[in-house]
Amino acid sequence: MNLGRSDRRAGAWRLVASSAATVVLLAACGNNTTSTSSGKLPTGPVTMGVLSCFTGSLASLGQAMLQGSQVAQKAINDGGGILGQQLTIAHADTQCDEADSVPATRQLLAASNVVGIIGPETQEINAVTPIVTSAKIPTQFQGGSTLFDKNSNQWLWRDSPSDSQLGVAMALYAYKKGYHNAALIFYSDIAAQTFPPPITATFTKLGGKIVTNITIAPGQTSYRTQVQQVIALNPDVIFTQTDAPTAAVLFRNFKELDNLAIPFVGTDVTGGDDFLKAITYQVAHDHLISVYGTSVTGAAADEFNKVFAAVNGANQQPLANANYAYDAVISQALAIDKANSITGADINAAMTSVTNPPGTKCDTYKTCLDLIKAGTKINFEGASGPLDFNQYHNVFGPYAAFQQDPASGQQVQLDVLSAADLAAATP
Amino acid sequence: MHEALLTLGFGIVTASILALSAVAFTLEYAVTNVANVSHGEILTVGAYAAYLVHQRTGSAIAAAIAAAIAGGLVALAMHSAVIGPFIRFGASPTVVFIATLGVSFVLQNVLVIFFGAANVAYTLDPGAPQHIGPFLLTPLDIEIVVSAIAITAALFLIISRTKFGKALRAVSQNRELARVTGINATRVAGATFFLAGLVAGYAGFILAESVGSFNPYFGFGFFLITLTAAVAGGLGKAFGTLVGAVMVGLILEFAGGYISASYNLAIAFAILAVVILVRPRGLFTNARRTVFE
Repeated sequence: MNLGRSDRRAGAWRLVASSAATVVLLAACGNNTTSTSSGKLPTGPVTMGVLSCFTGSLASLGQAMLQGSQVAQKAINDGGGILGQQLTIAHADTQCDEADSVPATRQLLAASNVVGIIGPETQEINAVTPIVTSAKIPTQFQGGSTLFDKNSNQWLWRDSPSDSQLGVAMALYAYKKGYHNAALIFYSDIAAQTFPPPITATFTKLGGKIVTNITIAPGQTSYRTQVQQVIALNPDVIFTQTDAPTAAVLFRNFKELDNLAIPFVGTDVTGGDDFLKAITYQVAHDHLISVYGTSVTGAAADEFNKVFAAVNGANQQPLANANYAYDAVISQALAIDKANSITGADINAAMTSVTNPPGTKCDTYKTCLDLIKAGTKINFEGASGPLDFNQYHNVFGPYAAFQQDPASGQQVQLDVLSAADLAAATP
Repeated sequence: MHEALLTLGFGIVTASILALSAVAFTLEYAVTNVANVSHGEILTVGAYAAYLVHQRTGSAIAAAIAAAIAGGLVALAMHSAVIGPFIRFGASPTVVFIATLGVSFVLQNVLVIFFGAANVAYTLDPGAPQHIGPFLLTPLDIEIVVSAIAITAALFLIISRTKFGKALRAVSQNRELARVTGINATRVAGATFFLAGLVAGYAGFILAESVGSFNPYFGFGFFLITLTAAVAGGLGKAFGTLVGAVMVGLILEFAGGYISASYNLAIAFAILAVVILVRPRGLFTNARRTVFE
């Protein structure tokens, strides 16, 4: 369809008018604030947004994120609120898709007037980043992508460890076990391919040697040649991640050619039930250690569990990773309290002053808030870990090594790798 | 050199499984002129049948027989219920091709309903590896290679020396002409599907034995390699397909070992593309001669 000049001019005016109307509308929506010399103070409830996938195959991620945020909401509101106001939670569905995450983010910012965002995952963060950066909204996303290990965007924070940290943990665990020569077998999946560099760098830094790094195509009926090559190099340990069908063939081929004489250290994927069933629980128990994030114990985790039970009932169990969202909401709320402002720049500036040492350690929102009100520098300890952000707005561990118990079908924790251990081992 | 010979041995095992699947597929093609995309599911059904029977009886021989019979019955059902009627109604090969794709998805989902989508562990002890000449093979590998050779030889005899084989070749060459000469082309095609199903079902059993685990999508993944072997050797030509399967099996193993294990499939398909460009009818076809003649 061709438009004439007058039509185009009329269209342009309509665009300008609708934009102006949108600005007025947004201003009207955002009028629950007053400005002070120290920043912008809320005059009504403070809203944080949970931006995640609530539909689709990864909907469990959003459910966990919302669940953790709602537990934090209860803890904050029972602990006195944020700057004297109640916290409300809004959420928007990214459908785990970059294209769908754009309107979801815009909707969250425009309709809910959020002061901070929890989420999304790394699947959508690239599409969301320009919007939250432009809006100057502190955003605590989750996910393991190593692309954000040296994040330089001041508005992005990640309170779940990077996959590179998992690689560090795997290398550290293996080295501590006395393995000094290692082979890497990872399948050609993008996520799996993020592991070899940090494992290699860490293992080498610790004094170990990587004898070979093999990438295999998934779904083959035989990996005997590659397996024979690995066996010939005589490594002490094999680092691995593949999908379950590939693992079945790979472990079978190792069984055939060296009776699984070389132990495996795998990623979190290797601790999944589908993977373990594919290689069988008994083989997993005898030959595989899986390394992945573990729950911390202590007052912060106890507080999370206590409030979770109050919100969801004593018989329910928190979803995996819900504690990360809980920590994200609590830390943002404390940063607002510390900044005495709900302006993005003020929240951002105050974040590490409430999460990082030095300072008085505190584990619950109320105790932290009381310390802030008393003028004490705090160091919030999260339910998921110490929550100490580095200069790239990333956090460390903790991780643990797990072994399959063939009788119960459960993973048994063997050895904990603390955040401090990981920080020291990181190249 | 030693490592290359080991790789050759591993490649022969892969090629043996592939050969059975590819020859069965090409027989199906020969009598219908349609690429049966649901061929992979015959292998999957065979694997599940073997798994169930082995669980109950503990006998690998009973499992192998069950796999072959299940494969044969499923293939016969595919022909009787879908492919045969479509051909009789004069549907184009493209339409029948799409119908078989539908059959493939239906069978996958039926298997998901009954067995779930998770992997089933099929743990038969492969035995300790032994040096057979320059090769390093387990008793299971030897069983696979020997059975593949035996079945291929039996197929050769059936197709070249029996009345049924003669009819099969006639239908393969010209269905209408075969019918005019009194051959019941539909019955021959059905019997061929049953025969191909027996072989494919058994291939599913040895594939499951070899990989140690499978799920409802297991045969579909293997079908792509099967198709590569069949097209490379000459679709519808059993001998050419056999050679194509050996070639593809060895390429997969050598490419994985010496170029990159992550690109072995890509290399196999690249070779297929070159073959199609240079010899569109396959490497081992002769316009005037059919297979086993």
